[in-house]
Amino acid sequence: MSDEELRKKYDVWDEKTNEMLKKFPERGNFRTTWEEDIKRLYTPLELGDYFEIGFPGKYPYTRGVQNTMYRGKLWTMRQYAGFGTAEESNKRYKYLLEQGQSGLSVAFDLPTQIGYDSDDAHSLGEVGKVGVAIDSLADMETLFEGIPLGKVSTSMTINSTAAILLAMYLNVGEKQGANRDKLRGTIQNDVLKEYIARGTYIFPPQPSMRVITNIFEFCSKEMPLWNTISISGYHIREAGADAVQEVAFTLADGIEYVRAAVKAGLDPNVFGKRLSFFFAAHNDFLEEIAKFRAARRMWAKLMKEKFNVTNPSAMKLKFHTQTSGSTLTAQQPENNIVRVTLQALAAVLGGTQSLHTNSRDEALALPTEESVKIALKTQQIIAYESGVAKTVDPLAGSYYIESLTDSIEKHAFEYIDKIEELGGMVNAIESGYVQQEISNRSYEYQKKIESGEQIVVGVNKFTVEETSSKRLLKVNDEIEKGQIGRLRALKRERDNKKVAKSLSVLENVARTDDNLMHPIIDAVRVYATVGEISNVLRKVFGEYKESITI
Amino acid sequence: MSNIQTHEYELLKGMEKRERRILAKVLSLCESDPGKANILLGKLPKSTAHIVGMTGSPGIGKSTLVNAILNEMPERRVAAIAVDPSSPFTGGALLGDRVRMQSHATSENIFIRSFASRGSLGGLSPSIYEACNAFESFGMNYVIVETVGVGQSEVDIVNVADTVVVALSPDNGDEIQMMKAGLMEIADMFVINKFDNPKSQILLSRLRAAMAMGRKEIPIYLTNALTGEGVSDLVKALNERFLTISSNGVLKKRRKNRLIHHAQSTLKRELDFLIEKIDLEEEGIDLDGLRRKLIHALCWNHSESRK
Amino acid sequence: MIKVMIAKPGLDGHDRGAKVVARTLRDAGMEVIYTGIRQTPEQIVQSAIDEDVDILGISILSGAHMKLVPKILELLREKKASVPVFVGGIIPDEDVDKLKEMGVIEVYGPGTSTSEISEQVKSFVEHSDT
Repeated sequence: MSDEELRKKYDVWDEKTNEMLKKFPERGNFRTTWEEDIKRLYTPLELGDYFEIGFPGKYPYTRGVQNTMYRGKLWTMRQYAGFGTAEESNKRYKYLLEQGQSGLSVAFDLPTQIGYDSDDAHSLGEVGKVGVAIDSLADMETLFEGIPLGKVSTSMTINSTAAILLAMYLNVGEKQGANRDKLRGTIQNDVLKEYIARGTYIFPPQPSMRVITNIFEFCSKEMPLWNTISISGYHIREAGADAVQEVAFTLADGIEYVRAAVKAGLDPNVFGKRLSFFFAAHNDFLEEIAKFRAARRMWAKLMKEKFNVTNPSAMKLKFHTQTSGSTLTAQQPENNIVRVTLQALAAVLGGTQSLHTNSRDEALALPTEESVKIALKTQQIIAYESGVAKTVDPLAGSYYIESLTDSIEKHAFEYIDKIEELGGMVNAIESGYVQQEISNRSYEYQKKIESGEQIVVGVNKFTVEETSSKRLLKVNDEIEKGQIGRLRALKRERDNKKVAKSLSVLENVARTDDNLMHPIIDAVRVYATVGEISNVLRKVFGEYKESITI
Repeated sequence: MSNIQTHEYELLKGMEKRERRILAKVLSLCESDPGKANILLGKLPKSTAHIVGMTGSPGIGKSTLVNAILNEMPERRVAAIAVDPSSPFTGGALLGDRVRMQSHATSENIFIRSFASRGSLGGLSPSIYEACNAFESFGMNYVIVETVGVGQSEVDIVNVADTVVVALSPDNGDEIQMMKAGLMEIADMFVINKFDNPKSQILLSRLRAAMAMGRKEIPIYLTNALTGEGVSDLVKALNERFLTISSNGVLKKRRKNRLIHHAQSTLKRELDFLIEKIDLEEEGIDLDGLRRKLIHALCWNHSESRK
Repeated sequence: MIKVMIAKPGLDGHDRGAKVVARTLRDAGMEVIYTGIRQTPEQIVQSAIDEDVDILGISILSGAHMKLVPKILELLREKKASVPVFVGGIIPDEDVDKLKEMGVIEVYGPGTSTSEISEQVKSFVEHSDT
């Protein structure tokens, strides 16, 4: 059938359907999360050039970054958790390694992430809470005691203080006899999204970009196996962004980092391979699948066209996915298992490289062992029973999926163009533009839930009387006390003259354009703390204060 | 709707004893019942603070600059007023400038207060005069008033402040446009913030060129409010200026001007109130006729006196 | 005119709920001071007093509520400020009761409608004022 014939037939069908509506109206209007009307029916008329869909493992990578995808190797099922003290975490890591796991994933507590020592007034009630508390190299030594850093790969969720924690990791490794060029792992190091959503920023964007670039530069020369950034859309989405915003703002962050790396003299053909991404898997099943496909295609185009990259591996967007914590409900928590399943399935159909599935009670409480197990089993069932991993990109060619993919790409590029017009992501953040866009969408969504336009099962419809029993991670005072005790003892016992000297060297370097990694490595070696080092940099760079957008 | 029933005596005593909690209550009274506040403040001894107006378009870092100034005044008693716009539709307002000064929230000598413009034409708070008086009665050395940053308030600040600081940013393309809107006339000092930005040199030379065409020479200071660079020079200049204007008669002139505008704003407010209020009390009278007569009488009187 | 402060103690950056509430209250015609994230109890209490707010809302998601809220209430008492306090966040039922015993007027969990919050805030202020 030619397009013209099809169009005619479609029009006839559409006219008839509209006739029917008088008698049998539809349930309402249907829109995407970015407020675009969804048509009643999608047809081949929606399909664009097949080049845009293409082949897996080939530019523009809409269908996946590998030729065989999950037929070759399944995605990595990566579940992580954080623990209070370095000693406890160390035990856990050793256990995991004994069980045959080859990679470690470290979550840090908020004071460590924001550059406060455990005895700082800001740290009250937060020490050891959402991850391990690290004040100095001594804690890091305890954390990795007896673990051969030359052999494992370590992923650290750390951003504003990534340079300090990386310096500590490298010091521990060298004390064990593992050279820095042998160390493997990842730091999140994506500070731009902290201003937009996650909130663990310290310095204003410009000096933060400098620290990040210093890390890029240092690692490219001295730690070639280290992944220096994981560009994250997850937190942007969790802050209330829609699918288009998640893709657009994450890729716009990516552009800013690549630009900074190029400016520092790095070759995007080489550097591009070390980039990885991190997205959320939200509720709208088909939209999410399209989102991952669109992001992949857009990044390939951006790397090729904006940065003139010729090396195919530097154009591939590889990503980790986590199911969306904010979609889980306190009411009828069992329903969350179903939500997580759908979200995880979307991530797999979208071609994720690794996946974390939330536990049904994760957003509300410390997950029970049983719910953690169900979360992992969810992935296994998708992988081994559902059949979706048997062929590559099974939904390609669906009129609706391809149309959604195109639409996300179109709208996300509009955002990216707008941000470029504003002078790039740093300016867009400083002006509050990005935050305001997210805030508006988040507010509209909340209003829709309250008006009942958006139904959340068990919350605003199909509710039942229930007694909730929310268990929450209790603040363990002992962890905080113990950590503060160790910190005070360390400050007494270390060579404080050496500390003072290393910090003054750091301050001097911070005032020049030289790389900060070297003086930071020297400072942590003499047991200067995360707080002390951060304070020196605060003094030179100033502190970021959010521009209030509600 | 704050609890303003606290006894007047208690307020007077609290102000004399410099209790912050009481100052906060008096400022609420300035907002909710400026008439009453004026009477109350009239009973208190008044010291003279240096009232500094900080103005410039939105988003150029005024609050950050005020914060940096606060950093440089550890020994002084300083009040910072931040004005944000009220919604003309709901009356609601988001008072967000305080955020940038939160590190001073617990400083003993510093008092930060947010005001909503509450439909005031100028975009300054309608009770700005009373608020400044309250701070002076409390014995502040400095009162820094940060404006909304749009429209008429930029010019109105001159009727409140002893010194008007106009902040400019090299990122903002509209700066020269703003110059035309009367900022040149009211500025006592210019600050170019974010001076590490290469574009600030262009701004600086344009500003100098604009000044050369005008009549007055206005000092220009370069700052980086985030790191505090250049801010101590600005504070030094503010201190010196206050000494100078105290002795050369400028302060006296500014204060006289402020008093005139305070009186005018009070007159207008009370008159507005009266004209609206008659309606409630006197029924059965031709009120509109009365209002027309009032208009006529006022205008006639006005035009007669000009003959 | 109701003046309300929405404060976010603790170090976590999850401000989506706080912002939605702040915006709702503003759109309901109130003057809203949103403190931004990472505020210490001392900063929150002194700001609430200096601003002479009618009511103070505290948003906590980090789980540190049993440390931070009592501290805020204690400081308010110490400084002779009678500001009603409400709390929003993920608070287990047992803690909700404890917080209310300490003097918190209401605790809003996930899923509370914002119009309910703004109605109640209005009524709390009207009743605390007499």
